[in-house]
This record gives sequence, structure tokens and C-alpha cells, in this order.
Amino acid sequence: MAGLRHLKGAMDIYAQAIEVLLTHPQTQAWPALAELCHRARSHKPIAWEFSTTAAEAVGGRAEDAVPALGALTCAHMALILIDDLLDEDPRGAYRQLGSGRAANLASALFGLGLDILIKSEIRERERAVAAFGQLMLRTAYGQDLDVQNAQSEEAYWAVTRAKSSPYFGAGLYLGALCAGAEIGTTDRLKQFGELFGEIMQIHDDLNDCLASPANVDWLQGRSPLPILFASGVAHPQQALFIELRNQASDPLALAEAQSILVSCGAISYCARELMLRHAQAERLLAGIVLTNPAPLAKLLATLIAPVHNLFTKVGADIPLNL
Amino acid sequence: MVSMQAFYTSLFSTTENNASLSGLLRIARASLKEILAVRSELYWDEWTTTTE
Repeated sequence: MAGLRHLKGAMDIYAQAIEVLLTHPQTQAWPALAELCHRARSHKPIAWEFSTTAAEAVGGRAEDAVPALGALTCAHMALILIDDLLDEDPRGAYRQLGSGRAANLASALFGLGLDILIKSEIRERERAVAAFGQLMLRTAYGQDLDVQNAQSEEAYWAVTRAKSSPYFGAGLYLGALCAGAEIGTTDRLKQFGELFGEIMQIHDDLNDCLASPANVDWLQGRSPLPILFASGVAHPQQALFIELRNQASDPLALAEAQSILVSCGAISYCARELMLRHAQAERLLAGIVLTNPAPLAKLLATLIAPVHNLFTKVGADIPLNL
Repeated sequence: MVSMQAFYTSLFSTTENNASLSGLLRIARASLKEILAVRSELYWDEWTTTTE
């Protein structure tokens, strides 16, 4: 019951954050912007609870994080608008709005998020604004690297760190900053969030590669981590995999290619990368002095418990020493 | 960071890893369901996929 009460409280705080967006004078004067903000009421951003969790972890109240939550919701909406444009995702809002208006609304949301932080009562407002700017700047760089579809291991991790990590890092950083945390603590929470982002990206890649029918990563010749491994590492089925990869719209070819992802060690490699980051994040969390670290540890455990379970099921040790 | 090729070489050549290897290679798509469910809960594209 305590958990349910906590969740309800956090949801009320999310509603408060959306209210801040909806009552902003610019939103009230701009129906298309207001429509996006209305939509956010029922479509919460990924990891929306990060900022409230961070505020409580450092000894503050969840409601301290309202400006962070409002700004991050704006960032999320802006990033999705842009991501859909770059991916030419047929489900994207740009299909109704047109590309130009969608890009312009993304720019507006970035401005709205910034304005929410500037007008907030956060003691370290300048740091909050700088962190929000860094979030948008780094993610934009990551998006641009991503669309260039570089096919190397180094490029993969560079894209992941630029594109996927800043959002999660900023969520914890801004939430803790809103609650008045020390700078050292906010910085370490940001690092923790960025590791979390890398873990999320690996999960994302596993899903995309194992989806059936073939998703956009297969069909557009992209290289999520398992495909990068199976295409780039020298193994007996490498040539076959590359051939099958180009026929992924055929369900039989896709199934065979996905089977090679398992047998060549690509999935094992991803599981190991998940475990390594989990261990690193646990060490990092243990080194941060927090009033209430439990919710953050729980967030991390949620991501990694299924990997542990899988290794247990197949009777394998986790090969972190390889 | 260990490179992908180094990971592959270690995974398939070291006898002491044989027990781990046999287990790892038994990982089937069905067994990955739990891992895949994590990402479904925290789906980055949720906002897009639920466009009305």
C-alpha cells in the first residue's frame, strides 16, 4: 500500500508539472503547443519519475522536482518530434503537422523547458539551465551521429553516450538540484543516470534485433549492438549473417539471422555489457551519500534482474572477466 | 572496454569458459522474454507509438 501511495503521489506531481506547462503564457497563446502539452498528461515521458526519485533520494520532497519534471517532459516531447523526423517514422506527429511545423514545435518545447527552469525557484538555477542546454546539445549531436549510421564499435558507443545517456543523467541531476543537493552529489547522480541510459540503449537494441517481423533497424541497414557484433566479428557464420541481414523482410531469413545472433555470441555480448554497467552503477550508487538510495537501487534492479534470471535459468556464470 | 572480437575469441576458445559458454549458447529467444519485457515497460518510443 505504501508503494501505491508513493506512486499516486508521484503521479499527482506529474500532473502539477504538466499544469505548469499548460499555464505558461506562450502555451496558452499557441494551440498546437498546448495540444502537445495536453497530450503529455496521458503520455508520460520515459523515466518520468527520475527527477522526483532523485529529489527524495537527496532528502528533499518529490514536489521539489516539479520544475525538473516540467522541463524534462518538454525535452522528451522535443526529442521525439525530432527523432521521428530523422527516422521518417510513419507514426510521427510530423505526418499531421508537416516537417517544418514539427521542427518548429520541437524548438518551442526546448524554449519552454528552459523558461520553466529560468522562472523556477531552484537555488542553483544557472546550473539547471546549463544542464538542460547540455541535454539538448549532446542529444542533438548523438542524433546526428546516429543518422550517419557508422558501422564501428567505437562509433556505436559514441552514439550511445551522446544520444541515449544525457536524458537519463539530466533527469536525476535536475531532480536532485531542485531539492537543493550538493553539486558533488548531483554530478554523481548524473553519472549514474547516464550509465542507466547506456543500459536502456542495450535493452532497446536487443528488442529491436529480436523483433518479428523485422523492424526498421533491420530494414534500413542500421547496426544496433547485436547486429554490429554479428556483422563485424569474424565467426564461421559471419558471411551468411551479412547475406541474411540484407533479406530481413523475408520472415525465414530474419529467423535464421536472429538465430545466428544467439549462436555467434552477440546476445551473450549484450548480456555481458548489461551486467558490466550494472556492476559499475551499483558501485557508483554505493559511493553517493543519499538520504534514501533505495528507490534508485530499485530502478537499477528492475533493469538487470531479468538478465540475472536468464543466466540462472541457463545455468551459466556471468562472464564479466572475459 | 573489451572489444567485440576479443570477447568472441575468449568466449569460444577458453576451456575454463566452457560451462558458461554452453549455457550462454542455450539462450533462446523465448528465454529472453523477461529481458525484452523490461524495455517494453520503459519504451522510449511510447510517445510515438501511441499517437492518436
